[in-house]
Amino acid sequence: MKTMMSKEEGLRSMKLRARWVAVVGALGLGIGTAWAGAPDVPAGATASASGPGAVSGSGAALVPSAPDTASAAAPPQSKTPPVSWEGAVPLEVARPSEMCKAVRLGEWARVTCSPPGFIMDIRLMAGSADGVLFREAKAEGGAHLIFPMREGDRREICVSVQTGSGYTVEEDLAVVVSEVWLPGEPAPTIAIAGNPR
Amino acid sequence: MACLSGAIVACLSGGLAGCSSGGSGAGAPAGTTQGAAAASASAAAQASANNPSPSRPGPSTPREGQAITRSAGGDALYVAQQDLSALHVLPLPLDASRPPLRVALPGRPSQIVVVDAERVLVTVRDPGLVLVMRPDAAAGLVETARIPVAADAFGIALTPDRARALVTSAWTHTVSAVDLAANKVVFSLDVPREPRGVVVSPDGKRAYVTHLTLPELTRMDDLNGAGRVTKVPFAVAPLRSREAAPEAATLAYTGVLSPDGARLFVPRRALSGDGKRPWAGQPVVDVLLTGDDSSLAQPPTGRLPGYTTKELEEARTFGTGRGPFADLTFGGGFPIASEAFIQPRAAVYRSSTRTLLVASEGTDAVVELDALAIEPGAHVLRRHPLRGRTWSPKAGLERALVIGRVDGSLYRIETEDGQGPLARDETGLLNNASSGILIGIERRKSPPAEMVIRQVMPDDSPGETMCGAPTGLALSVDERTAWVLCRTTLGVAEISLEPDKDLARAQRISPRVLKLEDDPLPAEAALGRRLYFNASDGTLSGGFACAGCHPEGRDDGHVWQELTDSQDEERNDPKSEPCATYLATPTLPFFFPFVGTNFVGTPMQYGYTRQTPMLAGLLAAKGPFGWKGRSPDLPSRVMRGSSLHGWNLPEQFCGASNMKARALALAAFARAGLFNPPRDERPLTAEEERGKAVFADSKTGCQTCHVPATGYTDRSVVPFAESPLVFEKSGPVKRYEPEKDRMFKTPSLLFVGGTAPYFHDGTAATLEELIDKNRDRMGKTSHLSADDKKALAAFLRTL
Repeated sequence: MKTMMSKEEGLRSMKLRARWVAVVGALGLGIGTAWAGAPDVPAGATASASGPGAVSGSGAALVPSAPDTASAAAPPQSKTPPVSWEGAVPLEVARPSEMCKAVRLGEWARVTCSPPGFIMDIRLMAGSADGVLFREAKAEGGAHLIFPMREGDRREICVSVQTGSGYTVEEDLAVVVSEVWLPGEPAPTIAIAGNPR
Repeated sequence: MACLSGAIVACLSGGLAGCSSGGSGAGAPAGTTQGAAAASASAAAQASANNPSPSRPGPSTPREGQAITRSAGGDALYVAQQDLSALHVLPLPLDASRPPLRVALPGRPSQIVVVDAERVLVTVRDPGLVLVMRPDAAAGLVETARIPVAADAFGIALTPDRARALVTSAWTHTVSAVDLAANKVVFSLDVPREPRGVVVSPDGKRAYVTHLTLPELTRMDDLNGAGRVTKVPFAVAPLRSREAAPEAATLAYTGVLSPDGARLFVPRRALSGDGKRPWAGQPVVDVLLTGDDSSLAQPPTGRLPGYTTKELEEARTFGTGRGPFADLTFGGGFPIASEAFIQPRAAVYRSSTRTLLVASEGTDAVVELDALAIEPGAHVLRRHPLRGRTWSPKAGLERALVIGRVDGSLYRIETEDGQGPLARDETGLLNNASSGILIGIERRKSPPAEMVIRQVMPDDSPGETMCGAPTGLALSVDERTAWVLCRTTLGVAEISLEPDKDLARAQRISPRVLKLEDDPLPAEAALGRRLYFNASDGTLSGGFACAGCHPEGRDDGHVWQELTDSQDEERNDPKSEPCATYLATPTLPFFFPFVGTNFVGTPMQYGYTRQTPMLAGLLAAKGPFGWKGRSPDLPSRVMRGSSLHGWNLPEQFCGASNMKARALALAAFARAGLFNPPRDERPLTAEEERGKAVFADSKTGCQTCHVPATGYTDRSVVPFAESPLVFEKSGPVKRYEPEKDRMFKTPSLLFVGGTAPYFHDGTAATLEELIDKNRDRMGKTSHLSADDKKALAAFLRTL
């Protein structure tokens, strides 16, 4: 039996129904779920990313910070992410965002993002998955993005939140974290776009 | 010289500092001498990489051409407005009491580049010229030399020593090198279709050329010798392209190099990219690493560790509450980013902030993107709206997303066409909700508690904008001010790049605009021009404009899938076309599982193939129009086309009064305001004469339908056999739906030489291939000798 609907309704319905495939799965994954093995947040280790550029956004000065050369000098760590972040230090982020804080422990970075709204999913869009972990950040009401910083990296991680208009559920990109350390460069360059709508 | 009305037509900020201080911004020096500028450019670039500082000025007088640029002394703007066939010289700081000087030109200008204090180069499209001009206090600019180049000269860039200029000629697919000491062309090289943007590396060893209709780049080496071209594959939105979708990209009008030359940024439209409107592709900025000509963005490798298959499966299917966040295997789609821009038309690199400014032709805005990121298009740092509306419901707000806390205090308002953020008192939305259509409210449980309201307002102000179709960008010496050429409103907008916190609210939402001239087009056609480039018109555009697929009235070289509603198709009414929509690629995983059951009555998985047709020079006839000739006249076709191209236009809107007025305006502009490609007016060669005879021969029968006297078409609808090439091209995967209705309107052959690929399905890459594989479906060509076929193709290229 044919469903009678306008072209607009039809196409939107197709799109939304398809989205629901993702949404249904994501609803149980958001903030507040149990997180086996999620690392605790060490007190005092969540210093905000800083730099002369302050925050991104419409009110921001856009001058970026210099790369965090300290991270390049960090001694090699284990190939697995740290279990504890005790002793982590603030990570200099070239283009920080108000939505995220970043710390470093050796070569490992942990970017903690708390975008407004319900996190639908986090995805590794580019780069190696080796060592990458996404974990809930209970205290911050967000998520930890954990990854190693190694020469050759071209990594991008996207955090999406739920949007919609009451009867629809859609997702929208809320945070994009870009980490680039091209061969020959002294240090990785991390750029975070918060709520790049 | 005509010096028409130049006036500050809008300055909503009244007595604000930005309105009175002009373009130099914050007391910075107005400019530097050219020699100093050239010398300081590389130093500034190096400093930018090592020690960014907000007070460091950026490089002066860029080596890449723009439709608007600063003079060597920084005391004037040069503006190339191609629709006026003139240059304008605007004294800086902009001042209504000092109107622009108009400099008439022998043809339509495209770009300007400043060589030094004494020389300014201007590309002219038809005839193909590079004009050498000298600044003059009284006249603005005075021509001192005229260098013929291949017709349709568009982009221009200087070598670092400013001794040579490279010039792209779009229609004639040529790149020429001009010796600026001798004022003569030293080499011209053939390149693929529609070369547009050109940049030269800081070491002067290579150049890159973008193409309007192709995903790949052209690299040029040996610039100081005879030149050499190499095709450079350039992945299209590699992180956001659908698997199995053919790589397709359009609208690469420009490329921008980082100051050290290590990265090439190319804003373009990824037709294979997923996004808010996956049927139309996704605007992106792809980044090429020039060290090895590889894409900066590389798809992920490996899987995320630590999750069991069972956990992932449970999470994916039901969301058990025990699983991790989704990983790259989850969902099957991509994070959906709002479009940062639509129809990128120009871009500049802002060295002091290491950002890109991109002119968004379709939304009348300039966006500032992070040049440090892998995907600058997903890293929007700031938007500079140029439309300058007052944003009240009465002014015709199309759609807005309003987010506020539950206590009612707004903290952000954004509009879906990228014109936000705005403040409450600029919209009046919550105070005037009854004047719109409230379509949804959502209260969220997660902190911070907030609500979302969407409203749709009727758009009753078509074409309203202060700066329509931004086409060129120029930065002040201190990079704190940007000037924008507003093509369809014939003005120059000035925007402050200072942090918002330092600006008054009116400055944030409205630019200063200086009008160049009164519009020479009749009012209806002038409105049509504004609509032609406008992707935000709620009635007409549906997210992308006519210019998005018909750039400058030409074609984008893309073959679309026309997804047809079989309910309409089964009616087989020859007087009306079935309800349909166009999709950019045949693989849309989000859509097609539902197509057969929800929208189209019978399964149609891939759609019919339809290549974007060219418009310029082909719309003079009264009618009929459309692939099947079912639209009796041009306005009817515009209305039908709007429904086809804008997915969100229900059928019932077609014919509505607000749509009809728009269609009439667009038709008027398409006939009066689009420019034909250049034609090489010369006697035919012997080979072309032979091809003409073959064309006229009754045995081939070409001109039976392609009647020369009526633009090489008789506009009749004739049967056309299924192309066997469809299946050859697509291989084992059938990507196109076989045509049920094999009747097609005879297309005009005017300008056919420049519109490859061929056939409605794009299965012939060249005219030679079209003739060779015609298989007597159009006239009779199988009996022709190889020389006859070659001659016929040569003749067709002259049409």
